[in-house]
This record gives sequence, structure tokens and C-alpha cells, in this order.
Amino acid sequence: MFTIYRRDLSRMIHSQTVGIIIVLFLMIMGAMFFIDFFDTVQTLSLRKFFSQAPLLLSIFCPALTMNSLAQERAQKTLDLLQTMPIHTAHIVLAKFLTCLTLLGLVLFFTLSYPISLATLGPLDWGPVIGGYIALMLLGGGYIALGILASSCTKDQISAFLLAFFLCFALTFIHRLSLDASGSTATILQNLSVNSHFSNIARGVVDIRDILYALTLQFFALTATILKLESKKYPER
Amino acid sequence: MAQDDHPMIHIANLTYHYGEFCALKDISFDIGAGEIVAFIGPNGAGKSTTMKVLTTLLRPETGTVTVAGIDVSKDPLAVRKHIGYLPETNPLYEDMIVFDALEMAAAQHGVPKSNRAQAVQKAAQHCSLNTVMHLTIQQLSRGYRQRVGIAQAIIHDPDVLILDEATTGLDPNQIREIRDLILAIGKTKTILLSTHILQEVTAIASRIILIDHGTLACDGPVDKLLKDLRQKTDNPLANIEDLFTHYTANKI
Repeated sequence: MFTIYRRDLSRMIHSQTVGIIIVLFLMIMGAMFFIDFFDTVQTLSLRKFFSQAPLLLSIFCPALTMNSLAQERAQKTLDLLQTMPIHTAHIVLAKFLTCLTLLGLVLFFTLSYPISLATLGPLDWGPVIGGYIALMLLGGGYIALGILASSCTKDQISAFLLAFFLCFALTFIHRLSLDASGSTATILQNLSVNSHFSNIARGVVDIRDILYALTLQFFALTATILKLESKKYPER
Repeated sequence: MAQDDHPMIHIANLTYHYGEFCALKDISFDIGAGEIVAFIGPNGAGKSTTMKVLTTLLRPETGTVTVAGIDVSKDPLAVRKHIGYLPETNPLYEDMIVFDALEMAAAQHGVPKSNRAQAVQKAAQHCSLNTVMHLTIQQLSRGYRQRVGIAQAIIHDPDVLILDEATTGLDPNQIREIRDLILAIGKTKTILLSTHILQEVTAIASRIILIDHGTLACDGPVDKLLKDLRQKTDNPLANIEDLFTHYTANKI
């Protein structure tokens, strides 16, 4: 598993496309921080910054994952990997960890925002740490969905669009609950990324929100493994 | 290691469908240790499907398939340790340098870290890759890429080598180089080789398995099959192409 992880990480770090995606993401994150800079300095809080992150991650994560399995399928290297003594779960997990590492690296660069804010006044680090944990958990969920989308097609653009649709739908599904009532509204609220993310971003770490993110990752990765394994069985 | 009391490859009553299309219909054959077998047949006959079942890329629908005595349905990961596979398309990570690609293949095949350098060196030497180890795969000629594919397939010293159209698209010199390489490897391993170049069959293989429309058309030593055909057709000059046509042409 770690051989695939190391190879993929090295490949992605050296990829021009991934470089452009990361630079664009950091530029937009920077713009989001500075647009509300004076408000942020006054309140010494990154809440606005974090509240916009789910939408941005729903674009960034699919862009990171779009070539993870789609490219391996297009080049047929996935077939070769699946004839080696490696479990399919390890292949999928290696792809997931590669993208998660890159996300962690990118978020690490954004730490300059809270650090610079802390020099201007007494910053409450609790919500900031909570926010970053939430970003990693949420990003993990989006990455898992992106890898699932990437396993469904050989075309990177299709993989990106499918993953973006899934992430976007999951982010804004709570909007539908405004027109719904009773248990439907509750289900839609509970399914929505936003309703879980807003709690953690406020610095409130609820085990249910963490479980939501981990469940999302687990189901998406399991679906990916099943998708890859299903190709081995006769189509009847 | 392989169990000695089993044939290296055993296929019994294998059937496989793609939707309504029956790719393999109840085919059976055994291949012993150290045999080089040419697996031939027209396009769509079921050669690649059979190879994919042997390499655990596809699961048998019905029937029993074992490699080195291990059932491919029951323990595919153990089967893969005994198999080296070169697919028809020879998929390679083109951005990698040859040394890294071989080292990664060794790691993925479970070669212990302490033996990896030796395994890479041995495979490179066997496939005459020593002069290109520092180049990226995309810089290599088609012949050298094929050598890299074969080196990756033998890096873990497998008992069985499965080569799907290993010489397709190569020029005559490259075909001869790869043919010599397969013959050298075949001294110690069981090789199942699918090909459309029929001259290759007589040059490399001692036995032919010919399938057509997913069924076994003929199976036996090259010399015996040719002798039988010459007697049957009353043509003393009948060659491998005649054999191929005899078993497949009337069904197209």
C-alpha cells in the first residue's frame, strides 16, 4: 500500500496540473481571508473564513481526485495493479491517503492566516483548531467521494464533474429542508455537510459530527472497493 | 512454492459471459511445469478472457481454475504471487525512470526490501535493460518498453508467466529479441503466450492450445498437431497457418 502511496504522492507533487490547482486554491483561500480582513481583525475570528470553506473544498477535492483512478483505468495500469498481490482495498486506501496528505499540506500553508491574526490580538485557538479538524474531516469525505467518482469513469473531466456534483449536493442538501417538514427536514439536515460542519467550525466538537464525516468516508471508500471488485464478475 | 503434484495451470469446465455474449464455453486444459504453450485463436476467441481469469482479473463463472495448485476463486492474492503478467496493452507508468518502475514492481510483488536491488538487477540483466535504467519509460522505443513490461512480470521470479500478445506491433528485429528473451525465460518457467504471429508459435512453443468462439478447437504438441493435419488433409506441406485455418476458418 505504501509503495502506491509514495509513488502517487511523488507523481502528484511533480504534476503541473496539481500544482496549478493548489496555487489556485491557495489564492482563493487568501482572497477569502483578506476580503473580510477588517471584520476578521475586529472580531479576531476565522468563522467567516471557515464558513466559506465547504464550497471551495467541493471544487478543490474533486480536482485533486479526478485522475486518481480514472487515469489508472485509462492507462490500464489498474489492471496490472490488480494482478499483483495487493488487495483492492489497499489500492483505494493508498489513493485516499495520497489526496488527504496533499490536502493537509495545502491547509498547512493557510496556517499563516491565524498565525498573522494572533500577532494582532488574543486569538481564541479553540475554534481555529476545531475549524482545521473540520476541514480535514470534510475534505476526507469529499476526497472519498471524488475517488468513488474517479472509479466510475476513465475520463478525468467526467470524474471531476461527477465528484463536484456529489460534493455540491451534499453541501447544500439542507437548503431543501427549508421547504420540507417533519422527519424529511431532519433527514435532509442530518445528511447535509453544512449543518455538521458549522458546529465544528464554531469550535464545538460533537462526536456525531465526527462520526458523520468518518461514515461518509467509509461508505464512499467501500463503494469504490465494491465498484472495482464488481468488474471481476461476469455481467449477467 | 508451487505444489509438485498439481499441474502448474489447471482449467476445468471454465465458462464466462459478458452480458449475453458467451466468451468461454466449458473449456478445459492443463499445463505442466516448464512448458511453453502458444495460446492462439482468432480475435474475440476468448484468449484474453482466459488469461484474465488466470491472473485473477476476472472470476470464473463456472468451472475450476488453479494456478500452482491454488484456486483462483478461493485465494486470488496467493495465486498472484505465482504469476507474472504482461497484458496486451503493456501498461506502464511512462513518467517513471526504468529503475524506479522495476523497483516499484518488485515492492508491489512483495519482494523483501533486502532483496529488491538484487531482483531489479537480475530482471534488468535478463531483459538487457542495463543501458536504459536511468531513462524515463516514455523515452524508450517500443521494443524496450516491451522489455520493461516483461522485466516487471518476472521481477518476483514467478512460476508462471502469462504473456498476452507480447510481440504485437514490434518490428522484425524487436520480435526476434523478445522471442529470444521468452525462450531464455522459458528454460525455468511455465509460459502461456498468446499471439497472432503464427511463425512465433513454431519458433517458441512446444505445444499449441487453439480456441475459437470460446471453445477449445485443438490442443497438443506442435509437431503432433501438424502431423495429424497433414494426414487428415493429405497435404504434406501443411503448416501452422493451415492448422489455424483448418480449425477456425469454416466457423467464421
